[in-house]
Amino acid sequence: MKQTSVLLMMIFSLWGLFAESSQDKTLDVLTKELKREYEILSQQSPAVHYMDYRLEKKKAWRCSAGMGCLIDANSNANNFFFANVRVGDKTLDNTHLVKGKRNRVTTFLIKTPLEEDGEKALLQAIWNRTEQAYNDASRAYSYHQNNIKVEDEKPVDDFASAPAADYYEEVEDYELSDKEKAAWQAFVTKASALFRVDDKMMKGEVSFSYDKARKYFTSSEGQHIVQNYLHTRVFIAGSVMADNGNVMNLHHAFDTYLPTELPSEEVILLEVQKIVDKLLELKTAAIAQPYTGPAILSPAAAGVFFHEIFGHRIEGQRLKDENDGQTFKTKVGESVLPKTFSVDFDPQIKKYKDFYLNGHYVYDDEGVKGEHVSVVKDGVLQNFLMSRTPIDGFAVSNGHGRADFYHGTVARQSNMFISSSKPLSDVKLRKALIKECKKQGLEYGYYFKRVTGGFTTTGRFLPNAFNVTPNEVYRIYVDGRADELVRGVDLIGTPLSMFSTIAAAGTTESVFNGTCGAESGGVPVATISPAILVRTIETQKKNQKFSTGAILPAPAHE
Amino acid sequence: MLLLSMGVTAADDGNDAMIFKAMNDELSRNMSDLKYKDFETPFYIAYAVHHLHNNSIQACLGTLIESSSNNNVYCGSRLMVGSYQLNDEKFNDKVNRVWYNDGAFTNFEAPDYYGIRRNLWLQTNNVYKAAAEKYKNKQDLMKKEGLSIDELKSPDFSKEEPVEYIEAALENEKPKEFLEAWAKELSLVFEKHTEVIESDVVLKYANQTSYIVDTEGRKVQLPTRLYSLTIKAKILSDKNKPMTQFLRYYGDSFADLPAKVNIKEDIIALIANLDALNKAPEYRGKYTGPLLIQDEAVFYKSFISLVRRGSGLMTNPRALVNDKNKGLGVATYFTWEDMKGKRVVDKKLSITAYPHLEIYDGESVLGRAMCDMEGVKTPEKIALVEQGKLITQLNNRTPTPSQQKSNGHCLPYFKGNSFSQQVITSVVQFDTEESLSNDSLMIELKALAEEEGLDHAMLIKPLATHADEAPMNTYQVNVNSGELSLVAGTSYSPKVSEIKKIEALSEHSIMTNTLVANQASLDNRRKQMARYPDWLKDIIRMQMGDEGAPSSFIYPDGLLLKSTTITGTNDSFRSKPRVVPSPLAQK
Repeated sequence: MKQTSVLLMMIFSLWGLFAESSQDKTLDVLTKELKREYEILSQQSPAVHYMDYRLEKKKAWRCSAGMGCLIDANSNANNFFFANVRVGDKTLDNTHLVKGKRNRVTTFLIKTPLEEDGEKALLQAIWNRTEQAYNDASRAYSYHQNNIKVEDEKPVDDFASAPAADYYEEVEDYELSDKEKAAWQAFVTKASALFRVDDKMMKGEVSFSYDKARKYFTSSEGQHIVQNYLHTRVFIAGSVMADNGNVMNLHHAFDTYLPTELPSEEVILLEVQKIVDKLLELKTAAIAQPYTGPAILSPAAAGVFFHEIFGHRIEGQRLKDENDGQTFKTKVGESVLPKTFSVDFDPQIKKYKDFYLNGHYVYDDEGVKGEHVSVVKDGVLQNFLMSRTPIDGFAVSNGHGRADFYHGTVARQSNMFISSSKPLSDVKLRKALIKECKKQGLEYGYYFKRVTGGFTTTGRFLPNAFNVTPNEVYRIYVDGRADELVRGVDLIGTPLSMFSTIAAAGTTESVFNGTCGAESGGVPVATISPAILVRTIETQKKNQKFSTGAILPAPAHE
Repeated sequence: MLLLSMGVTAADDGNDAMIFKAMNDELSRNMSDLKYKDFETPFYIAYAVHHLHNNSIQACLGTLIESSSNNNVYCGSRLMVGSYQLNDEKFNDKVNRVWYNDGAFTNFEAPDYYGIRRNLWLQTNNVYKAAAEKYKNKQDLMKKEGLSIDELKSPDFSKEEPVEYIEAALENEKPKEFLEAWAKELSLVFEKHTEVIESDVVLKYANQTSYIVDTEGRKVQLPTRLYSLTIKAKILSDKNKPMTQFLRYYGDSFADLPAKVNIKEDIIALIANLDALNKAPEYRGKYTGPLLIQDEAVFYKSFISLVRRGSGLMTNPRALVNDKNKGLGVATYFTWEDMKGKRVVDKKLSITAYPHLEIYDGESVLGRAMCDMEGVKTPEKIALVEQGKLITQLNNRTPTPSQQKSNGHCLPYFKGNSFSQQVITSVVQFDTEESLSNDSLMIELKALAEEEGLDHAMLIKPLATHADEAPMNTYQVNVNSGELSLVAGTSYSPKVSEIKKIEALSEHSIMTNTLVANQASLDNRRKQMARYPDWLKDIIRMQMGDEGAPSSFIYPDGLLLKSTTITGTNDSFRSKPRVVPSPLAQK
């Protein structure tokens, strides 16, 4: 009880630091209502020990075209509100993980007014959702209090406090004009028409999207944050059917913050043409068989590889869950990668070299400033990505508590940087691959150039494995024959055995921007990686889509 | 085989000819050239292009929560292999499920000749392959099991006169900004009522045109326009239980919605009704005795139970089924197709469809349908039930043994932002030759209760508003004084069996315009909802009001049942009071 009182005094004093009126009306409404609710709910039984509100104002415009026809051109705007209420105290609250039980998270998502004059409607929505969040948290807390039958070996708090913070980004005023929208519609239509070259081309789409979100965060600990999320993307996606009915996909994305930062139309059209040409090549490419041996992963492929097999296993919160494989829980200070490799995360970096980084943010979704985290230094595991859920030995957040708007936060990745202290040039890396193939008595090794993504399982019930899904793969022959494009394989394995076979990294870096889906929903992430040489990879046949092909030719080819 | 795919677009009248040309060009080449391996070629193909323009406006306490617009195109292909007598349809093969996906149906934002053809090309390809294979399986199985075509009792598809029916696309009557301001103003009525803890005004507006052609020579252009306004109010009862009620209004023109001033009055009445229900005593136990149902409650609390496929006003043809355990046979579920000429409702009642009716009692008829989505023209009048005996059911081109021709009731069906078609009602009138005045019905109600030794009878009627659907209230009627007392917490479910024993009907009729949803699907959702939290139930109930086919019902505004059962909720659970007062109450 004494501890709670001290905490309350601290919090009220933090509120004193925050100006009565900020420069943003929405933030004012959120903050004042949170204060009013907290003052009452923190005096109840069970008492609220922490609350935060998130509100996101989202606007998007998107157009897409397929095979030279405009598919859609739509705008949408939605504002969502999310209330997070914790009851108990930070040592044990409603989020406590009970051994052998999955934590059930209920989300309270509600649409809120689009217009600035909607204060009353916003207040009513906040009040209703806070009530629901409090009731749910109270029920969960009561359950946890009565169900901790297997005590933790070393109790760890359920919640970590974070410093108060005021952070305000000005509104990004860039909007697409009607003229620009019309131009993009015309462009995607023209670009997608490049796919109309072959009846076996099953899909050929080009889309443009501009997403703009204003994210609000306010908490009972004095974090008052308003930041923007901007994302512009031109996405090219095509698929072709091979003679045996296999359907193969290729895609490419151009990501920036603002539409004005995108490359020229000529550059995009050139990339569309490259995808079309590569799909036509894939149509007749040889089918690869399962393989074990050395391979080079392109920078983008290596990025996905690291994200899946490594990144998800150093998300701290997961290591508290007794259902998780906890691959690295006890490996801090131990060598987990070759000693030339380091892995860092830094959400503060917006642009690296020429690359826009999708995993950028200033404050995470728990109101904590995103920190640079050196996870692996010279091959040795140093740290984990932390949210405000502490784990043994890591008591505070380093600003990686993230979520989409439909989920509560957990520790997630941001911008991941993989580097090597002794990189090899592209030529040397290729030579090293050939040398390794010869050593293993193999006719060829593999080069994984493009990947669509991947997935991994980190639990205990299913094997702790990963799958990276490449869609542009070459055989590199040891006898100097030209590289051969092949199709139909996935890269698979288990994490610890795979790390031990990483041999070297290249000098050329590239980025893979994507959206990562996990417990807290889809969050934007990026990986910056050099190519890597792996002594032994394993492939399996890809789960293919099949088609029997159209009977009649496409209408345009009559 | 019927396939609908979803896409995006909006068309204007100038594009109509281009859309028909694209459909016809693809229709002729597929009909003449389509051939897969050794399978049979199709004998029938129909195409449809649907342009659907949706707006959804949600307002709360004078501000906009949502304002979205969508332009959608649904291209549909129906293709059959075999013959009218026996084809791949009306066959539920649970063992060999066949489908093809040889290409993505890329649709389009603006009407596009190539886009329509490409979409239909791929759809036809997929539908044909599956239909051809399914038909062969059906023939092989029938041969193997020794089942002849004659034993199936009805053909698989009805041959109908080809028609050309063109109705001009309907215009958007009001700009979006006007409708936004209109909804915001209505939502502002709640501002002074801080006892209402949640309120919403949701206006949905859909304007769609369907273009249909087929190999029998049909050419149909069918517009449908729908306005649907839902108003929600929620209060917290004295026992801290949320109480939510809705008002719903439907029309095919903005002018069909009541004047703003009337809707505002309705909102005030809705709030007062919630307050009255909160103060009303909860009905405990079980009532068995006479029940008088009045006004729109006659439809929503009784006749709606007849708006059902199979055991109701619409056919549900029994298909041939191939089941892993049971083998091959015709489905055996009960439907009214076995009840032709037999009594299905009380003999006092006759039911007739008038699909062409435009105006009733000065009001626009929402369910009017001249031609259906299969390109079959509706007759002016269809006698469904005469003096309680079933004459016919509303149907489409899938025959039953007793109804082998379509009466054109495959009609537009709205659900969320999408659109489909179902066998459903258009305009249905319930008549009686034995009627009483409303006063006489009340006298009769009390007399029946007295005979049963009851001190009160029960009455259900809607809250008096201008809405097409308003909350239904239950009243106890004092047998001696005739005084009505509102009671809370009652539950009454309409049953077809009760319509077979109607004591009396009133002499005055009213019309209700509404959206009629698939009742079986609604029943399922209601069952699932039982375990959901209240806030999710509200969202689902809100959405359920936007689903269905525009229909109209004309019926006597009083219905007396001699004996029925009404149960009290028996809810003894109490919720914790809210500890944080409303921020609006403090302002």
